[in-house]
Amino acid sequence: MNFDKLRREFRDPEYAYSYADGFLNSYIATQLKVLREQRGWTQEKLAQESGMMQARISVLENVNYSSWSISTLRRLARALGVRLKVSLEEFGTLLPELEHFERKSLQRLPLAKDPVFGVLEITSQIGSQAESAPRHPRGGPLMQYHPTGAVSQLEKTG
Amino acid sequence: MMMWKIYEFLDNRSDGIIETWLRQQKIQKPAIALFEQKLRLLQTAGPELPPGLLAHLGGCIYKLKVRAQGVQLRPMLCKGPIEDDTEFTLLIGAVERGNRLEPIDAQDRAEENRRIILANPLRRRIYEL
Repeated sequence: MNFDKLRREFRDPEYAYSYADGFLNSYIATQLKVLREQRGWTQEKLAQESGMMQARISVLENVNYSSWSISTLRRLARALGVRLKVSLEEFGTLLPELEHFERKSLQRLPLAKDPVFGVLEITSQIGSQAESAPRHPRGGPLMQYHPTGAVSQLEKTG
Repeated sequence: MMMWKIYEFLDNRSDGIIETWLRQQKIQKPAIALFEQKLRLLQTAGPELPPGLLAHLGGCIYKLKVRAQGVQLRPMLCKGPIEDDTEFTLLIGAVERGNRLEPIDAQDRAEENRRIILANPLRRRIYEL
């Protein structure tokens, strides 16, 4: 990918900050859609899981939306089973992010399927998998990670 | 990773129609940055992945949706028209004010410019990003 023009334009801070803001908005909106689809969820389902209205999800899933709040992003992250990361970056880090902007690079596994943590005890509901699961004494269903990526319910351990 | 090529229509004087439009409309630098950021998104991710990037207007014409400070940029484009699976061509610049397009006949003019390119593929050039 050729970044010659972008390198020239970024000498103007007005251009650089506006471009970076636009990319941030596009990134979040697209990742929201990608993560929802990765879980096989409709907008309605994500709305239920995050305690929002479907119309609100539709507004957020738009590359031109620009009024993000940390609290809304936290709710969405929780609903999708991922952590929220906010970071201040140098402008140069933008170029590889532009270059690798594709579905695969935006996908993230939910906590219950994260291979780093193996067997997980989920103490709050994660998606529909949690709805009919046996309950842990502290209230949540018990889930287990399989190498295949599937999540199954564990026997209740009392 | 597949990349789309982005072209722009050349007018009778062989000037890029988008370059001229941005200059004549006095579009400010922050708005141009957002416009070019959305075009880069189209180039790298294609039309399906980024939600709300394009709106289909009918026939072969789409509008790119760019919400900039105080102005809604709505440049019109089409897939191809030479290679529909790998290219987009910007056909005319437009803005939207209160659900009204300016110029009001932008879609018809975009279609006309698309036909001109089909008849003469030299009436376009790569839009540098």
